Amino acid sequence: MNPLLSTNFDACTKCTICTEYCPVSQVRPAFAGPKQSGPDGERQRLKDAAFYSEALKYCTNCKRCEVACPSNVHIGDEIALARKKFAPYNLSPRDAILSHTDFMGSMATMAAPIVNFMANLAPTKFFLDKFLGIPSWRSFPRYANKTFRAWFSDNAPDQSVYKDTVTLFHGCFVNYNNPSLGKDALKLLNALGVGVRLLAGERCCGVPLIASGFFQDALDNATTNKASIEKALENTERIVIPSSTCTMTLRDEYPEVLQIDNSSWRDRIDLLPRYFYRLLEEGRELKFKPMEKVVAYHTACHMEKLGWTAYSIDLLRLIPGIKLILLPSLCCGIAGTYGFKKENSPTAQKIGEPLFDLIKGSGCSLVVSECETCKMQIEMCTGLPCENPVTILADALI
Amino acid sequence: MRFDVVVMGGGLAGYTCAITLLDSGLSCALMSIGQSALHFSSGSMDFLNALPNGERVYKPEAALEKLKELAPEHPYSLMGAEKTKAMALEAERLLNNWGILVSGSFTEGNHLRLSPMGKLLPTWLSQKDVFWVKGDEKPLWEWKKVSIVTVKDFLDFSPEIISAQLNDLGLQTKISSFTLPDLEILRENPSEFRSVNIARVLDKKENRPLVLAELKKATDCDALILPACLGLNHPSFISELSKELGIPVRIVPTLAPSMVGARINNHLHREFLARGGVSMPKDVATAYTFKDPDAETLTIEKIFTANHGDIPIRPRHVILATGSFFSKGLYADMGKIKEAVFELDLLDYPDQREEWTKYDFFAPQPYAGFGVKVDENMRTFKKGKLVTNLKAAGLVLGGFNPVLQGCGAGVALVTALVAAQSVLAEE
Amino acid sequence: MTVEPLVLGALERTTETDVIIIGGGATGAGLARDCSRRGIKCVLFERGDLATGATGRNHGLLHSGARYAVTDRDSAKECIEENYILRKIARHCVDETDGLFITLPEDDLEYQKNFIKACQDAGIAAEALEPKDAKELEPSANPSLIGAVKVPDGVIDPFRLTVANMLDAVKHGAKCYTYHEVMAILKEGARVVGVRVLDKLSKEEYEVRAQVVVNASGIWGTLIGSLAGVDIKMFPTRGTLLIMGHRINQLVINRCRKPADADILVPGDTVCLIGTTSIPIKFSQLDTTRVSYQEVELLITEGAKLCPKLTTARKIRCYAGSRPLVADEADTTGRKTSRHLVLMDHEKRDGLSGFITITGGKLITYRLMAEKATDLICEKLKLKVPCDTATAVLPGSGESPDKILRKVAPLAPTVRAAIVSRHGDLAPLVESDTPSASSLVCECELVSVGEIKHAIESLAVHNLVDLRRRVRIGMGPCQGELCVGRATGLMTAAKLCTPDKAPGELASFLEERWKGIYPLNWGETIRESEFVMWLYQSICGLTRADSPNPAPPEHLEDEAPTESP
Repeated sequence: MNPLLSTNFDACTKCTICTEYCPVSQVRPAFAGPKQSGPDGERQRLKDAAFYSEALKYCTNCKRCEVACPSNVHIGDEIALARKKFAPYNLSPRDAILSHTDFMGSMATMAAPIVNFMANLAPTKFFLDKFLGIPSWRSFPRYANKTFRAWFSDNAPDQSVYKDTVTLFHGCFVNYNNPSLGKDALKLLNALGVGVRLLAGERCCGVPLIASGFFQDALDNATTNKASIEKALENTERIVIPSSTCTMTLRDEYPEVLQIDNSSWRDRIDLLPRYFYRLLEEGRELKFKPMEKVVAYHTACHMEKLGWTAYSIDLLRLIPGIKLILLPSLCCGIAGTYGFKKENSPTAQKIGEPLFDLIKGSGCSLVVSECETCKMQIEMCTGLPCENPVTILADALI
Repeated sequence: MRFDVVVMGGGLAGYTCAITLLDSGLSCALMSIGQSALHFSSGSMDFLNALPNGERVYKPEAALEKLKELAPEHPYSLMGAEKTKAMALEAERLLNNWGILVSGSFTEGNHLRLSPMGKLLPTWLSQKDVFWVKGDEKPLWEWKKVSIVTVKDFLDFSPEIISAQLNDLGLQTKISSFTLPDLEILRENPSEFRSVNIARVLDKKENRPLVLAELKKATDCDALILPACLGLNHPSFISELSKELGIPVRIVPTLAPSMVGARINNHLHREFLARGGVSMPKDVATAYTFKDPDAETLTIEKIFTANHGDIPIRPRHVILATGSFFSKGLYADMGKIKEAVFELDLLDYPDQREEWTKYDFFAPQPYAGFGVKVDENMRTFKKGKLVTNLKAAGLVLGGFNPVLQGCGAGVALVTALVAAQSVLAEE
Repeated sequence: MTVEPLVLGALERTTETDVIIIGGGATGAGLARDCSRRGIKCVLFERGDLATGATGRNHGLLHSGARYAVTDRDSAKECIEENYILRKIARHCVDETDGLFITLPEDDLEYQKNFIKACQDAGIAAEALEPKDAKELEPSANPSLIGAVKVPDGVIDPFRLTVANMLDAVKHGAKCYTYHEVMAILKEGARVVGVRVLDKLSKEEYEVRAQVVVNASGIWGTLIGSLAGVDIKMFPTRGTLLIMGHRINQLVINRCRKPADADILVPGDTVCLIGTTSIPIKFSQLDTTRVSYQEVELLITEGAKLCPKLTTARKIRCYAGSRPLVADEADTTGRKTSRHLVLMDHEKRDGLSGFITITGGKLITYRLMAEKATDLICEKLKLKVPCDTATAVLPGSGESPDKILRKVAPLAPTVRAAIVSRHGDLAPLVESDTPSASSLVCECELVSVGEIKHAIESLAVHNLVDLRRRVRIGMGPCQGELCVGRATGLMTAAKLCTPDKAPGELASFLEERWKGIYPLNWGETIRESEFVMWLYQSICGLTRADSPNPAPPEHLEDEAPTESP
């Protein structure tokens, strides 16, 4: 048993360390902080449901409290579970739009040019702001003209030529918004001699649904994904994922929050850099051309939770000439769909300020992060490009 | 994953060792189970305040010989007076080099810090902006009258109690408090009006002039004393205030969370990253292998961890700086004490659980002295066999009572440097 | 309706009254309430704080009587009657949880049949459940159970109950003096005429005269009796309990067999408690008795049979109380005890008039004990006033929590819920309309600055330990880690202690807490202990020299057989 998965709120020594690392309570007084909302609150809620506080919804599920906790208390999970148990059913159309990424993505990609055009028109923004509570100044991710899946089935090079294969869980962002990241993954994997399959019947991992309180929908997605993953693993050794958040969700949120048993395959879910690392350890090679750039590595919240930054850092250091700056791990504030909600937006911006200052002061020309929503937030707030390490590695590939 | 060194534990000892080794060109990963006890430390660092018999120590240097007689298993006793002194001086130099600016010196002897309960307590090093005064038994005040200025209704700092204690020690005091509009917003949170959060508000650029204006009202005195809830992200804030106000400004640690402690932690973390250290937060070893388990001496080959699953870490050297019970370096069940990662040999401790704690809260608690057994080079043992590439440092070690002897930070720094030296000597 | 403020502790001395009550447990407070409601002037003297004896050192179980149904039907009947009375008059002190009596594979299922029959005979609603249904109702119960009976057990907060009784007494003219120790019983011939008390705070002694003196001091009754020159034979036995860090069970879990050690697990507020043991001790050990390491182990092993989660759950504290077991005066061997309430009219028994002893009994029968004793007092004072304590609700229990919630508006809903749960309809007296007042001091138990101020001003609080009994500060898993430091500051600001005495206050509190922690020196508890030691001894620099009453030197307590004084 993983010792980090084996304890509960009872172990909290009330040391207050988590409260120092909560990005939300610092800037939003209505959120009582991780200790009060998590282990302290849980004791009260066990006594009487009247002690459930609606303010738990302000938690961004960043898990920084859990990473900081010296007692292994699953503070973020406690909060998510309390919401699951006590929160009234979420009826907000805005939250439904933001969190049902599959539905919105498949609709939008069908008419991507129109959607992208419309989404940035003043009247649309006015409508989104006033009626749906999505702030007008926020730039919206562009939808791709063709989903990654569609591209893969129509245009991808033949993957059957490779002896080894791996299954790619591309995630919603790659599929609907950023297929080029998926193509980069393919390029690298193929360069390492590994062919790619897609997961039959991949659904959104469910993290935006959990964050918005659509627990049943999240559970439905997770159940479908579990079945697909188990099927896929009959033929491939591993599932690989470009996004840190999808990875964290499949590994940790499924058992801890959704009570989906993933014990037979949890360890076979890899973030792409970790999988590349395995292949390189086997003796396979990647050759990179020099890249004379100052690159700042940002540890996304869920990367911090996974504890896998070492793989990305190791790989990026293989690129000749690269100057890699390791930024102290701070939250950018976006927390998935959280920052897209109008009531959270000022909070999200305030949370991110210290990070943006560090990035701007670091002298870097490129930021690197495994998280797609960090990418949106950092690009919008610093004006600097932010890429997944997979993209940077693919660009440097000879 | 291959690293020259894996440090387990991200507290004072772990970071000190890691940064030193990075500076010597070794690659280094630092794994920690969670954030460290530095987060509620006093902001000063003790070296040796008392001997095990309760005798007060003014000059640690002069007390090391007697300590050796009374506590032969104390890490200082193991490494000997000369080496202890050399390491203490090295620690002073390094801290200042790394930008953690401290007052006090080993050669001069202890000075006095001010505790959240208003007590003047001996210590070795204090951060420059922390309240401290020269003196051993009695303070040698440079001031007659001080102003204690607190944040209105801040619960983790009691100016009345501190004032009463300072009056007893011959200092006149005046108490006042202030608030700012931004603090009133933070206050709406019933549980988060705490030092670190307050510091984040007061440190903001736009609030600094407001803080200055508030403090100006209390300057009819020789010095200003504030609770440690400003100067977290902007460490020169206090000295800038001093300059602007024309009188010394000093901060006093509060109840946890301690901003002055967290600040040291953050600083060490940044120094570690800046040198290319790889941080592995929230991870813990789940299994390990020895190269040849039947050999005369043992050598760690692979370490498997909770986060890295089937990918082992293959370190050439391991530093164990996992701390004591609180930090989970040591673990007690109802019958036994264990070193949590490798089940290393411990110094002898009583078999009977009855003898681990004393009924008197203030009596020396035996468990405080439990810990790992090491040699003078901080090398460790398992079932009597030397573990060649595993050194231990800090509070995971046994043989000393960090609370009653006032030596926790000193032991952490000095043993970390010795452990680093032993690694380098083997390189 | 506005709520009238009450101040619990009397400020001025009394020198003459009708009735003096010795002992500030539930019985003493209940007596003060009953007497004052019947128009009798009375004062209560308690040598420490309210509810510091057996009242505050038991399970806090609102017995249904089922535990006694098989062995002692009269006790069982008393229990169930009082149980329903307390649900009505003290609802803010009561948690109507219900209880289960479970039969495990090693127990005799036949006993269950007798048990149900005995309950029904005593008027206790006992319903046999299928094992499956029982486990659904109480998922924490041992899953190997083969039978279960549901009974109307509940939980009662003894501190809150005692304070509510005392508040009602004060409202009707009684006077309450805590930290007043009776040093002598004043006699004129064969008549008791008053007492000499020591005000332990001012260290002054003075005499108070009354027509009747009531000895309601629980197990200490023997000692008070000897001050008056009468022999009251009691058998002090230590009962030890262990508290877990959170509420594991929602129903009281009992073992369906003959009562034995560690066979009741009670969910109390945010925690749960397993108990008890039964170990005879000497009278000389009454104030110094310590929980043994073996008792702790026994409680865990036996308790885990009721609820397996006890093995891994965090243990936060153990404590021991002494039952007021009185010798059965009808028994000539002098070894038998009575579980019933014992009312002694010393005029009839010993030829000493003006002196009454009320003892024995249980927390749940405190009101009945007070009623019987007050009836006797009325007889002595030649008064004919009926008792109304079974129908008049206690202060705090007047309105339903829903209604009270609407009258209290602190900024955070959880803080508001906590105030209402602890103070019932007196909650509007707690200042809670500003962010400063709603600021939390104790985060485990949600105790706000306003609540602490209220307790300091109105609820006879003299130190941090008293404060704990009033508002649960320091009763959570950390047992008073950061909250006490904050509360010390507040007490100093409220001038309850002078700033120079503040470190001593804090030291005393830490020593008191440690008494219940040091035998639990493993697992999470030792981590917490180390943290507290760092915080207060290392960072704050408190030492033994700060303690006003440092702990006595180490000694090993001999487990003595029962001994009469």
